[in-house]
Amino acid sequence: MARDLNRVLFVILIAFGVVALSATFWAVVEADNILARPDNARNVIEEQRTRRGAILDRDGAPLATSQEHASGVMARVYPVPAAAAAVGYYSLTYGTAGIEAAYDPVLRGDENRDEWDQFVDDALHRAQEGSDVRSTIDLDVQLAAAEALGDRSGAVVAVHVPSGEVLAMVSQPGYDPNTLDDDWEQLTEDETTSPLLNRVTAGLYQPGGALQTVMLAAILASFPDLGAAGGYALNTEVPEAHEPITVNGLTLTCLPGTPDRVLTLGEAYAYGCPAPFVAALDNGLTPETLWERFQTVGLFDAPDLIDFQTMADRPPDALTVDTPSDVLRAAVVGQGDLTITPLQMALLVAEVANGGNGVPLHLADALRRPGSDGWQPVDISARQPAVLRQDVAEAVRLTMLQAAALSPYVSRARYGDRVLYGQCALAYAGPDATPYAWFAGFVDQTQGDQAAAIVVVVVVEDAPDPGAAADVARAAFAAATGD
Amino acid sequence: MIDQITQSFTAHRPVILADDLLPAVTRRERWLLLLAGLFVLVNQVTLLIAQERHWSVLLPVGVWAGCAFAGHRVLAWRLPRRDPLLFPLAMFLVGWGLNLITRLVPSYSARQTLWMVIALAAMLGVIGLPTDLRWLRRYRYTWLTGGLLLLAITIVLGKNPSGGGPRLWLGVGDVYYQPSELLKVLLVAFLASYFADHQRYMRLDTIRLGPWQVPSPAFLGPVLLMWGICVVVLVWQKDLGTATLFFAVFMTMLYLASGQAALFLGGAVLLAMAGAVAYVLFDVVTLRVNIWWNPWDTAGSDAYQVVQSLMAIAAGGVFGQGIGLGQPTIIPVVHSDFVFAAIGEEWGVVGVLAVLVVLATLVARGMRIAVQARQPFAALLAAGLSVMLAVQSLMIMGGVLKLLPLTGVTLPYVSYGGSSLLTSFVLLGLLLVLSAGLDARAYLDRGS
Repeated sequence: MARDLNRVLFVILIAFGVVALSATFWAVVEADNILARPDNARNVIEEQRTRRGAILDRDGAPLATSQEHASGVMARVYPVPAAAAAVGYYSLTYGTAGIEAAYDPVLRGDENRDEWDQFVDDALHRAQEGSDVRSTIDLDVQLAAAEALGDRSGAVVAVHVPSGEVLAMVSQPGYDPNTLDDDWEQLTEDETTSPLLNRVTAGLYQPGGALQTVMLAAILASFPDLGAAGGYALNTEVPEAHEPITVNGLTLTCLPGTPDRVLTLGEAYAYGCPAPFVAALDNGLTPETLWERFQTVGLFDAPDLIDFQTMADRPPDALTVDTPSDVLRAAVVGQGDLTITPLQMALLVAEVANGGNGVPLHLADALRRPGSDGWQPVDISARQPAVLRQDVAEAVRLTMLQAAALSPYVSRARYGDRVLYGQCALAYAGPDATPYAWFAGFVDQTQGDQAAAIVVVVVVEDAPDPGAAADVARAAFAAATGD
Repeated sequence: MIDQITQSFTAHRPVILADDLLPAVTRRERWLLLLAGLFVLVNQVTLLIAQERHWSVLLPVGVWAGCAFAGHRVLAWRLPRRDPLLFPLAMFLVGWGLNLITRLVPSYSARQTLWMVIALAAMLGVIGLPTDLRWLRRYRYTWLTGGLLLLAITIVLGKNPSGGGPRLWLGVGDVYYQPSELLKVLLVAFLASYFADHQRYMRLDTIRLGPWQVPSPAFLGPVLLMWGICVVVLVWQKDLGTATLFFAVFMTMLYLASGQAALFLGGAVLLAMAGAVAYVLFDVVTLRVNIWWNPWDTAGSDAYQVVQSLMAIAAGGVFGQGIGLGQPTIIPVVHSDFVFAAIGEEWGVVGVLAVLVVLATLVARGMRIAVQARQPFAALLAAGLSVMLAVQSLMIMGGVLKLLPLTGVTLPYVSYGGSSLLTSFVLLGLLLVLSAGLDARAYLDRGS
């Protein structure tokens, strides 16, 4: 029987060996795959324990903090719900948005950690701790803009030039990130108001008359040297400036209150008259060239907001000589297929204010490791590529200065004695041709020999008053210039 | 070759220790118990710190130490020639089980500690009975019938302490016992006794069945009948895990007694067929097999336990998360069926291998007792009990690792559960008695 006993034992030991191999397989070979499964509650538990870094405004005021609300379980608190468009949200169920999304690896502590600290924390099973993020948001500007917009739908963005710091980002209707999980159903079911949509970075608006700033730059770019010809281009009287333009059943005219006299191209821009821009197509500006210049100023590219997802529209059909004239006309007056985001507009105006050079748009500029006092700057490209010809930018800038002086709507954005540049326009969107009010402009912030400007772009939805957006811009300028 | 390898596990100790070596046995057992105690204490203290528990979690370790000391003293007095590895290894696993239960279900810790005391008392009781084991061998039919009777009562009066599920327990007040656990030991004892008495005839009086020589039905008849009743009753209770275990142990013992490998193979075929029939007949078997074959499609519902158990093992990696620092409680009822996965998560592959080595050593020592036994009854009893221990461990570990369909049996000595612990210690007591060498009188004694 001894031989049989040994055989039985041998089989049993083989079976134990198979169990050992199998355990090693699951624990070593297959571990990463199986742990990445969405039903691995460990990931959620680990997530709940994570001491996420805070998000602060540029002066250190908290915009998002983590607080322990049950033993070991952290909860995210947002002291300023009105900053939601910039700060975004962090939800175990629904993910992240805004700065919470853009700087997620840093905030949760996956990045920007000292490797030794990381190792010690892992070994001791300490909760992961993330770095704080200092945003470029100026809480005063943010709150002023949000308050001025009130409960109207729309978007406000304020950018410092030349640094590219985004000072304010408002999108209405918005949401309260503190109650996002509870409100989610309600927030997602309403497709027309889309509270979760960031209207600044992803709100594709009909540009309407706001496209005139782009058109102006495109027309001016046809002149080889504006130093010599700029005055001619802008100050030549355009006899047909008041003529109404009909597109898609809409009749577009100058804004109400336009003086009844012959206007120059610059004045037509100030009063939002569409006819001279349509006429430009007959005077040497080919559709192909125009399309190319749209492309050059970045209307088809999602603007670069560091670490953020932004959007841009790209109409399916380029403009050519074969494009039907009514489609062409609609495109030129901003009532065609092309839509743009307020951020695209803000970038364009920033380029005008910055002598034709681009600015590195960003929403955060420094990180602070847990337990550390010092801020480390975020690596932001100092490169400012030339987008507009310098003389074109200068001519557009002067035209915007003239518009601020002439237009009763633009001047509503003026605050104090700051030099204001800007344009007001109306766009008509949707089957009911709902009017949207645009403001795009900037104030000079130059101090000594440091050229600087604050750019503000505002869209107010469902606003027949062409100056509605300028009123909001004024509040932002007032808060940003700080006096 | 195979024989040579396994003989190295079983054959190098002299059959009877010389008297001057006896203190060495006691010394070795004491050292091993100290090591085990250190492991259990370190785990419990770590748990105390890691989860900021009350110091009273150390009480079970104190009780464990008392049990280890008492057991060691009684063994040294009563069985001086015992195998010095068996008791420390079992106590090591029990202590680890206490760590696990304190960690996983703190409210069960006191009850498991109490059961450990009861189980140890039962083991000492077995040791206290005449070491010739005549009481077990002679009254084999009585014991087995008694066990079956208890099981029959369970069918009528059975309860489930957790409310739903199979009613496999008999309850008195707050204490529940699962009679099928005791039946395991009684059945092995019955088979060992019966086969030992008829072994000679089994090997001589055979009939041809196709190409094979099998023992005459005259000898197989009674044993098949008794064993059949056990299995039928278990299947009736839907305690299919235990039924499978009985089948595997029965076939192995039949093979050992008869020396006919064909019987073993035939048994394996029968088991596969029974499995196929059960797959069609029993919903629970269909479910378990489907989960085993593909747990991923139903990972959120039916296969939740198994998938979560694999995840726990994956989360443990090589060195584990450390006691109290993983998340094994995500697995439902982790403390009984899935305690092995909890070891994987918190002690890693290293811990899993430790459990495997300890269990394999227990089994190998048991088989060595069988090889060295001088009478067939002792050999078959030791082998049967060891195989029982091995198969039960393999069934639950294989189930947790998705090697086998999941069967609701416990991991011996480690899992929560008083019935299982009590039975495992009775089994341990019998192995200890057998390891000390049976009296010559037992050899002369014929079972009835």
